[in-house]
Amino acid sequence: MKDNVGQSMAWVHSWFGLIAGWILFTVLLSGALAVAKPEIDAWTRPEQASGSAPQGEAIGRAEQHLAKVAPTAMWWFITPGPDGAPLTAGWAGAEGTGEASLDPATGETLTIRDSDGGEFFVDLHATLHLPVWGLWLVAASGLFMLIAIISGIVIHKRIFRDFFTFRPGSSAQRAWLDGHNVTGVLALPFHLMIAYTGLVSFFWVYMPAGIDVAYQGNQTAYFQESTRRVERPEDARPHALASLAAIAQSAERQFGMNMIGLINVKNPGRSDAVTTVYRSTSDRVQLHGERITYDGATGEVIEAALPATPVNIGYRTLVGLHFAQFGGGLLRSLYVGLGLAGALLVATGAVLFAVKRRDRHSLGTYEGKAYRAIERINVGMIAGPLVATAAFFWLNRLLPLDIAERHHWEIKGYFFVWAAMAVHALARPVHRGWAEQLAIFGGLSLALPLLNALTTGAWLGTYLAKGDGARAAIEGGFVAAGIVAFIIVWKIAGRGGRPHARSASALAG
Amino acid sequence: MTMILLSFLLAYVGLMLAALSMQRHHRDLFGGPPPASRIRDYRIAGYILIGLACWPCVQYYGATIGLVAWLGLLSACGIALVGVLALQSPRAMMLSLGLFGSAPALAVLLAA
Repeated sequence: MKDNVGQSMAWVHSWFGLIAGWILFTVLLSGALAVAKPEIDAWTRPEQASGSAPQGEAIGRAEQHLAKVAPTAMWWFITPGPDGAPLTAGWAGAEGTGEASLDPATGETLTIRDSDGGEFFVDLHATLHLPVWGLWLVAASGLFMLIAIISGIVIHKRIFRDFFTFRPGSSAQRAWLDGHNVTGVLALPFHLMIAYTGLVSFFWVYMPAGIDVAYQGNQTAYFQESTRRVERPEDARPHALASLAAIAQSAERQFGMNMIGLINVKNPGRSDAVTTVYRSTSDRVQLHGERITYDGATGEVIEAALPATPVNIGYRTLVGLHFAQFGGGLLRSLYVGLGLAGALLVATGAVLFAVKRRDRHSLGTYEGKAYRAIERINVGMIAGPLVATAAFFWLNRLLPLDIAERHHWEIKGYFFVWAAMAVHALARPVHRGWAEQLAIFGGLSLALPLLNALTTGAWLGTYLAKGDGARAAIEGGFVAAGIVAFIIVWKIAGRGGRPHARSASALAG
Repeated sequence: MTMILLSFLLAYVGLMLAALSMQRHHRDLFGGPPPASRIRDYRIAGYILIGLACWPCVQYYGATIGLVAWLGLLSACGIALVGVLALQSPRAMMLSLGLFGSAPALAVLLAA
């Protein structure tokens, strides 16, 4: 038994934090990157559109394309990209599915490299790229994150006195504890919000009881009612589709210029066609765009934009707070920065766990061996994903453009590099493992603009000169991360691999 | 944009004043504890500025997004401030204040 509440909380905090932290580091790192999905999408697809066009015109061009390639598909989807980005035209039906990127100004199909881009990090963040149990694993680590946050607040003795305290010059344990406290306390509202809203986002997967009772286990009925989806009686007689360009223009009059988020058409070319236009959510917290439903055959409005139900607004606001699609680039960069602070919180916590226990047990004992194994796992689960992330961006430029299933190879590359780093971490002395992997990450990050220039002719400098903020942000971010990585490598080398070498008497000062 | 940079400035200066009201940080920067008479002034001025930082955010984003942005930029400014305080140098502190202060001024000049 633990002696008192404080001690048992400390035990919960250290062990739950450590074990969940091995997963949480990747979840938080990829989550921060997932917020930058539009920028990563732009960087990983360097092939440019020739110009931009008003949404209505661009959507008309997508319609022509879909009428040519998939006139009998069951569904069409058109997503107008952000200004100047390609628009996406997709279809799905009995024949399969397809998707093309179109030039909004000319309607030409763009040959864009086959990459998952930012979508990979969204997937990694939500499921670790695993089957459905990955979602459960991430949810469990999110729950542990909440537990670690609450127990961390309880065991932190001087939240306000140490509010701004960071003493990198004092003993290793003190410095790591300060770093852990500062990233935790200063960004506490963000950490609490992100862990809670993340769990809420997929509540119907792991807490389906409410829906099961109210809808007799029929989740489809629940979603139909909560989103008020329009259903029409089947009528398969052929009928020309009412112009999507005209519908888009009428929707723009209601939503505002360039405020269309998505258009989909069910049963194009049939009498029962339904065209639905969704409003963009870029100017609000709640991840919910009203929609207007049109009779696809005649172009008449079947259902005007309805306000969402209160429950749905509540749910969508929580989800929206998590997905951060509102407020534009500045707000999203705050999310990226605070998400990285969360990753740093987990990393400093894991290192602190090891630093605290390192000298308590000699090498020969069972405990000593266990703690040294934990230190090596720390390297593989923290430095490993960093190297793998940089490698993903390298593979995006290095893999030949014409290999089949190219985007799978980028992802396989990510996990292969991570696995290699995990093995490397187990094989090397701990401080060497840290230094070498961070050096690899730093090297890959700093050389990314060079690689880009050699393979595509564009790099950070040309992006800045052209005012291409999205792509410049990605490369600039990697350069900054590379510099930080080398500063840490230099610090590790300076301490001769004994980060705890300094006298513990500094603690007293 | 200028509004948000103004928010950053208010939040940063507010947090810095709150830090200066604390023995440790005042000593690190100026070699001695804050005069007893000033502690309260620093603290109150700090809290007022931190609160005021909310106003440009709400002006720019509207109330709902503005409050989220305010909380987020307070955290970001706090982390930046910790990095500056760790250097224990008054010069670094003045330099950071200059950076935060010149950003909205620059934005106004560029926009004009």
